[in-house]
Amino acid sequence: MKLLDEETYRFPLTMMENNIPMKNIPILFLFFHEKDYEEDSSHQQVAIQLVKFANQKKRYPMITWNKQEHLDNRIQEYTINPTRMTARRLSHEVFFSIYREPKRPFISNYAYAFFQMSSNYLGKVDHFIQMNDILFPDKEQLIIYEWNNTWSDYFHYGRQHRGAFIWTIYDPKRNKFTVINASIL
Amino acid sequence: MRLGEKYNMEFLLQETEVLSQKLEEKALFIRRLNLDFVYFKEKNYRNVESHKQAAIEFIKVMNKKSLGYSCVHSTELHCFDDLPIFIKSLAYPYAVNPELMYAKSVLPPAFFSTKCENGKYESSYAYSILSQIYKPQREEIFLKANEYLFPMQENLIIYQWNNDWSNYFSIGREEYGAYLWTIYERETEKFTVIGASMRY
Repeated sequence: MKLLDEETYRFPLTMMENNIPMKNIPILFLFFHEKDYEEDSSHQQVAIQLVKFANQKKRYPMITWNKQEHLDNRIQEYTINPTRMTARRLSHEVFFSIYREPKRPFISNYAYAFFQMSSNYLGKVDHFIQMNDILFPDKEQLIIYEWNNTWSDYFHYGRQHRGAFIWTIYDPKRNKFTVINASIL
Repeated sequence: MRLGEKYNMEFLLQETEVLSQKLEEKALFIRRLNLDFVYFKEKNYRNVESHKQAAIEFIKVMNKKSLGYSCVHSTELHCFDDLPIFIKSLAYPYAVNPELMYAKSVLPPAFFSTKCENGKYESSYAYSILSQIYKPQREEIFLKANEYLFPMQENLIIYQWNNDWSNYFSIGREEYGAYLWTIYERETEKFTVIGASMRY
């Protein structure tokens, strides 16, 4: 399992080049290559990679550059407890659904995250559809897991506010995992 | 060709890193300064071309500072303001579109001037340090710091750049101002690049 650096780090820029607004989007996208796919175990591993990724980012900025940043750097790393991880499998119809009954929540938490988690995010229905068409050209074959959020303190803040979500999505044709994390950090 | 590959401009890591420490030892700019100072060695000076390269190299250094590795994304994007702003927490590198860059030359006396009429500073450099709404620096400290940072002020070649060619400037554009100056000293063959993207 290997992080696809270029795709992950260029993602907001790529979306902006397609005229999809990215400012204040409460969603993080990570991409991994996985050629030895082992169902549940691969999904679990890639979910854990999200927290590892966040921990890696905590090491910077470089401490020697100035004193102020040194303080921020002492923040502890996030911990995980894999025994508490549970997931359910979602169909692509449910996951990508933008349907909601009047005054009822969205069927899909992913749509909820996109449209409602950040009041400052300006993306609309067309953007959501366009973004998903770029991300997932073949939706029918995707294997989508929605994970609980009690297995790491990474999700703590989001849990206390408007929600914390993580999905792991495998595309067998491309041997590719997409990890989607929604929470306002 | 990748940006900056053709000419060998050297990033002076050591000098850049110890600057804030040195300023502190000399009791200059003790309070938090919203500016980023970065040094480069440029032996093969090509006038404004070198200045442009130094400006782009500066963004690379800012990426190194926040991500741990040097990089920059090139894009043909014309508006950067809708990209995620808090790059640090999201860990996305800053991007640049060199096509959009332009600069104007600033003479040293104008650059270091502290003249201020009706709240408007002649020098945006002075503005970025002296008029910070939350933590202004004292004028005498500003003058002293400049003497230390630039011992030969009259020999400097200074360019001020526009601020809409990279999302490094986004937060400052939204809040208290965003600037970039590239300053070359012929005798020492050194660039001092000062960037500011001032936020609360």
